[in-house]
Amino acid sequence: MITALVVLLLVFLLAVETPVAFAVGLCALAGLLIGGFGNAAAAAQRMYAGMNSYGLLALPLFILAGNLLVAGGVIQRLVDFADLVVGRIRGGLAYVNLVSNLMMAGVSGSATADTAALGSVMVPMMRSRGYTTDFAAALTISGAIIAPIIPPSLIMVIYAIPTRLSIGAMFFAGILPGLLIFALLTLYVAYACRNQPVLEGGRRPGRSLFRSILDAVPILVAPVIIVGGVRGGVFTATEAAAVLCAYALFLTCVLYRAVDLTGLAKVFRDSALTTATVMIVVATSTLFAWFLAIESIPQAVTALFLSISDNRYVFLIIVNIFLLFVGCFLDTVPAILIFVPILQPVAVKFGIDPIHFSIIVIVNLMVGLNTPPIGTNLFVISSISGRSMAAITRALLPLYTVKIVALLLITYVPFISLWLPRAAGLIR
Amino acid sequence: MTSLAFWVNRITDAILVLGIAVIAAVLVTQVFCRYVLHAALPWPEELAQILLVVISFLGMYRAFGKDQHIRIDWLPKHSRPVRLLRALSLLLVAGFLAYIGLGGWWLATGAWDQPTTALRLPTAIPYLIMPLACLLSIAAVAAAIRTALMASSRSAKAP
Repeated sequence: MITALVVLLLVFLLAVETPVAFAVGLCALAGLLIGGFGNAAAAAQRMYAGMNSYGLLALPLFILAGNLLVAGGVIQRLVDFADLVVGRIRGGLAYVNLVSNLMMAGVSGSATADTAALGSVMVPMMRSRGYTTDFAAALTISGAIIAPIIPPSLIMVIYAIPTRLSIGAMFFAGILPGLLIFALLTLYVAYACRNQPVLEGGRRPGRSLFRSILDAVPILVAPVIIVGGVRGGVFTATEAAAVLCAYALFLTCVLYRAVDLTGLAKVFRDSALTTATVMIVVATSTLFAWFLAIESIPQAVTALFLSISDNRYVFLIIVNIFLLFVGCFLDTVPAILIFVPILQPVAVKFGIDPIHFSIIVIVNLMVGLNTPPIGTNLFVISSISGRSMAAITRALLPLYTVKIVALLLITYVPFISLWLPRAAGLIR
Repeated sequence: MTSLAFWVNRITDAILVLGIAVIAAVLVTQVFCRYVLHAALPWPEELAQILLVVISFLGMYRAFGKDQHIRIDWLPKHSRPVRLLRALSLLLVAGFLAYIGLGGWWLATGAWDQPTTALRLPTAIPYLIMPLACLLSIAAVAAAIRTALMASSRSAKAP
């Protein structure tokens, strides 16, 4: 009863544009107070404890590294490089978009940040070479969902909080699913652009081939630092993030000399602000998860699932549909912190590997990031491209099919997620 | 009042910049000490974690002023009922902040004798960031409520 009231309150608060963090916090508090649990000090203590974690330190560091690289002009360099490699084939710029997204995914952990950074370069560029704005926008946000699936990933750092899973193992598990999504998207581009005239793309005037490659190589080294560092537990994810930060600072300030001290202070402040907006959601979601635990919701959900079916595939299809639905309405961070503590124990009961399950959940929610009515990436790309959400959503329809196919493959073929972390010795 | 807000914001921004810079610097130092010197320091993780909480709470305050908190943005901006609803929801947010701020204050007053593990600081010091940031945030939320209500009365008057 209390839970139903709290859920209704949450829907109302989110609908009237209350910041997600406080909508979630208010609902948790309402539930706790009506139920007669906890007091102000206990609530504050829970929020503090939810933030005070070593693993979460990776969050500001990955955000800072990503922002430093963007400020250093990495996007243009990656796009130039991708243009050089795939720009001359039919549908060249569409591939350039995807390849740039993939390379960016290797240094950035946020789909929304990538959408904003790449969208502002790719959408006008594709438009000027004869692609429709809607297609360019739809393709950009579809490619951007690879960012949190391929390491580094802010979402995986968040996912590790309630589950205590190894971030390193999740990083490895995400690589092949990320590449699979990329491959399926390129197949779609090949089909969608089959009638696109071949334009003279390739190289920007005045830039030598050698220079373009030389520009891109230092950026492409960054993912190696993360993956190489985390492999076999040489670095923790937080340490890898710190090293990536130092490397990004070196690239931006020493090698590219793209930012002065004032600019640097702005990058640091913006990164701290972005961190804060995510961390507050983390803190209040911790409060909400506490409320759900007190109400014994996880046990009730387990019982419910077991009463429906004892078949793991049935469970997975229900999870897929449920999370696609949740992803349409709720931001990724609260969705993970609220639902994963409920769903993960059930998944383990059904014999699903928790690392595999983490990838299923993340891919599922990433599809939701691009779906109306509430899709963060859709909002971002709509404001960048100046096109309405409805127009972009129409262009997204075939791309949803591609992403759903990828999701189903990732869900029902555990090998795709588990082979690499097993081969690296990160899980049994 | 405006100049007070200006200086509070400048100081907060400076703490945010320094905070995240120190987090990155001490953790890079720790990696160097652990893997190159083979002697990890005892304090960088704790310091970085405390700073993370500090920048999170102070950033919460700044994000109110800049309207940067993650929220759904889909209702018409100028409709009067929408603005009234927004003001109501912000009032609830202020209540939440007051409750958590009070809780943080109680936590802090009870924690002066509990030292942190590595830095041996009183645990009360990091706890104090909660009442401070909540107080600042309530002021920022009050300003946002005022904007919402004033714009709504203006749009009501307009033909």
